[in-house]
Amino acid sequence: MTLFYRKRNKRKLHQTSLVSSTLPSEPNNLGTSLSDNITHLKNKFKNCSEVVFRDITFGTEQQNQAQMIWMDGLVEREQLENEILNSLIQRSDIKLHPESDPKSFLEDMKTRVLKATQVKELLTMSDVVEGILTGDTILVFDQTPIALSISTKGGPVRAISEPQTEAVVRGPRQGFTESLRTNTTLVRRIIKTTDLKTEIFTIGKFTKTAVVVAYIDGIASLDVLEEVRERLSQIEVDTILDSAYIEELIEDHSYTLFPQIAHTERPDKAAAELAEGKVILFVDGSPFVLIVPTTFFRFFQSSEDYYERFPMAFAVRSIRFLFIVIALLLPSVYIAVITYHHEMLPAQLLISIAGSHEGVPFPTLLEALLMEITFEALREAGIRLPKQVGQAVSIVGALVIGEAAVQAGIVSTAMVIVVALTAIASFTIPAFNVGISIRILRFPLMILGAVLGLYGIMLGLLALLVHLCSLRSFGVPYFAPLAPFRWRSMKDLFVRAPIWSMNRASLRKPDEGSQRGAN
Amino acid sequence: MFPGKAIRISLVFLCLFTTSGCWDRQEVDKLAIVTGLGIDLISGPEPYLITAQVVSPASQTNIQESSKPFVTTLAHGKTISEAIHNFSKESPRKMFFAHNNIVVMSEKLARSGIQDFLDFLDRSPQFRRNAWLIVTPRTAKEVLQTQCDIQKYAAIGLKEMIYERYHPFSNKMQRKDTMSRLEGLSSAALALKIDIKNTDRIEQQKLEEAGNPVHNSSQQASQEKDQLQISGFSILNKYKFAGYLNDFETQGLLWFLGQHKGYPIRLPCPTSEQKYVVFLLNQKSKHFKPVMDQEPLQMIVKVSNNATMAENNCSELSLFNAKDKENLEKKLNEAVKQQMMVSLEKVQRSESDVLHFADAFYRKNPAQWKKIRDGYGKKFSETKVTITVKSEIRLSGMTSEGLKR
Repeated sequence: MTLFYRKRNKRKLHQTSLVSSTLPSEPNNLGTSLSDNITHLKNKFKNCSEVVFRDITFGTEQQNQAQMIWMDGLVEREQLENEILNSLIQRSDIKLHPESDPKSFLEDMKTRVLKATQVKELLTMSDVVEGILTGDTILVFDQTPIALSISTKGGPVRAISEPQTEAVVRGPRQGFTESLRTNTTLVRRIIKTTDLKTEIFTIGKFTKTAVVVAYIDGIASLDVLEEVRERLSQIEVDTILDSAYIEELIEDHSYTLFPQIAHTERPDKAAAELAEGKVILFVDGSPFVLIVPTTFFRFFQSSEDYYERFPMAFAVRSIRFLFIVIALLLPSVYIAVITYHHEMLPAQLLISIAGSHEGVPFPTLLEALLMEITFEALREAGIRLPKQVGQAVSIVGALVIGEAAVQAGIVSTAMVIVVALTAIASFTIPAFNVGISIRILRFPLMILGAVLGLYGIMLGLLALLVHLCSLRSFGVPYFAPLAPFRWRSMKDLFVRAPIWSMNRASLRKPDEGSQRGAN
Repeated sequence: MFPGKAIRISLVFLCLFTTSGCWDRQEVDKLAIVTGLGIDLISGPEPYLITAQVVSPASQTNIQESSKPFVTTLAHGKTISEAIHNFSKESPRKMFFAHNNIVVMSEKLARSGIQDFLDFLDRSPQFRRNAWLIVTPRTAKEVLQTQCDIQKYAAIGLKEMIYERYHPFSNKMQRKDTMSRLEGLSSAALALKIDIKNTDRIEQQKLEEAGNPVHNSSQQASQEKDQLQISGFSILNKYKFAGYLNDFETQGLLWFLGQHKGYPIRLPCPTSEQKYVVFLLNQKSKHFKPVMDQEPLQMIVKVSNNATMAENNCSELSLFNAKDKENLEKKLNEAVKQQMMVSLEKVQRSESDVLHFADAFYRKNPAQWKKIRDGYGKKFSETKVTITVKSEIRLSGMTSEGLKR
């Protein structure tokens, strides 16, 4: 197992948080005195205006005193009133008193009085605090060193909506939301088996973010699972704001352009990955779930490939791979051919290109860099700007800059075509994060092409190939199933065979070939 | 690989790429793209005159409407390499020959031998082996300075003309083929023949002579232009020019090469000599059977073809009449044989075996070939050739009986 571990991961995971030393140690166990406990808690939640402390007395002779504590906004108001307040205050048949028999009193509360669905006993002060912070309602009774925590988590959440980044023409239209429970539910609704396990981790000193590791028992690789658990348990950070934090903290290689963990917004995709033996990480507060382990070619497969009949899926996937190659190579090959290999072009084409180059003051490389960087800036500006303005900026950028630059003779028309085609091609990649990697890689390749011609591009591609083959994602070779080669997985790599022809095994464990060997 | 090391390695690569420079880098707008190359013999101590037809790309952008689509650059030298090198005296851009598909040689140069020139072309990495070799009775300079009507770049137009006219054989008579034939058993090969004709003026004259009402002949005259014209093949024997073949002889020659594809042939009507029935012929097969037992050598040539009726001006003939059809096929056989005999005679007279008989002799009996190899040209010219033609009329064109007469 330690083979999985590279030294730099350890270093990264052991970044200690700033607050760990400043927090005072808890006096932990609850006392028997209600007022002591409450004072302590009030002290703890000093200046926290949302916390509500409410006195209640109940019982046949109003003999029982208790304090209800919750965080306003984090709890479901209606539930709080119906399940707790009403059941305590209007009841007069509670005869027991905690002082005489705390055990049976609490048992009575839990089984008979409180109408809530989830009731837990809490023994320590820190558990109480955490319960309040996560949206539970806490009942602290007089003369009892045990508090009751009633799950009333609620408050405003975003409704389930269509995934923004992974829209499909055909297929389920629901996407994950920021709420962890909603997300796990969405997957549970698809996979109805007790083998779907969901282990929970809490990460982050401040955020105490819940991370759920989901997998199908018996299909998921135990090694990967163990590795995920170990890496998660070693994380020590203050805040986890999105699954991206987790991704960066547990990925195998930091110094690479390629993401080694995929993410998705689609429950159907998550379910499909689970069924193939992957491990899914839900992170509270993030609509993106993480998929581990991930191989390079996963990023180029869209869920729509499986929602269209296979000839269409095959055709679309082929076009996608073609355009990925264009997105990566077109500008660099154009530069190389135009500056070194003029004989490779048909005569008429060379004359046309030479004609469009006539009077352009810059070398081809500079011209290409200018245009490509301008395009990247336009793309970035398009994301940042408000939707309505963004459209206008794109039009201004594309039409005005492009047209004017050509008119002024600063760039050639051929270059505008190349840049535009590259831009379109780069958006055929279904995964945005790999799209960025490929867009960045274009630039070194362009320089190599300008310095060494096609030979340089070939060198660059070889280096890239070596790099890709050296990467691993949770012990699984990143370039699988091409390297190491696995014939059975070819049915769903560049082509997509009909679903009936892909047997269960190849559907399930496309990368298993080396998974075992890695240990 | 920790960051410090990564930075050091990337620095090494950065220096490697930026300080080494890009020696072979050549921006496309610094190139003079040569589409046609010509060579002439001139007087004086530097006998080679090289003409290059260079594309002027500015004509593409239509900024200067009046500018010519191409210019011709001249250079001369004692050797061909020197002449090529001398281009830089006059051209602001580097001559780029890789897109050159046309190599024109004047007849005068071809007569004195083209071995040196082909040697030069073959050694330089820039010249394509699939360029066409052309021998012209005019000068190469004139040919390259002649405009082509539809195609802006005359040399590219010329290339397309050759391609269309002799397709599919045109792809088998490029420099690579000519050279391998010259180096082969027969040491004889074909090149193309290009002439310049003022077609417009000639036809105009003929129109007037025929009694057509012609007006504005002066206005017409201003449009008169010299035209490039493909007018058959030229024969090279042992790297020297050995004669031309006209169009009719060229078509006859193509039968021997198995490349007669879609050329028309006419037969006079049975009753009237002024009317014809025309067939398009497509060669199906060609078979050589050499007989080398005694001198003179013998060659039995068998040729078969499919015929399609293209014109029928004879009212008395019908393809639906089995007898007529049979007669026509016989006449076709005779006509094809006649055509072949004419070109055979011409080729034999020049003692140049461009028909590849030598290959057939060699294949038949390599040992005996060694004996006849010396002085083969003479033996070739004395070879007795027996020709058998088998024609089959397959189609009557898009119609059947045709118009009533």
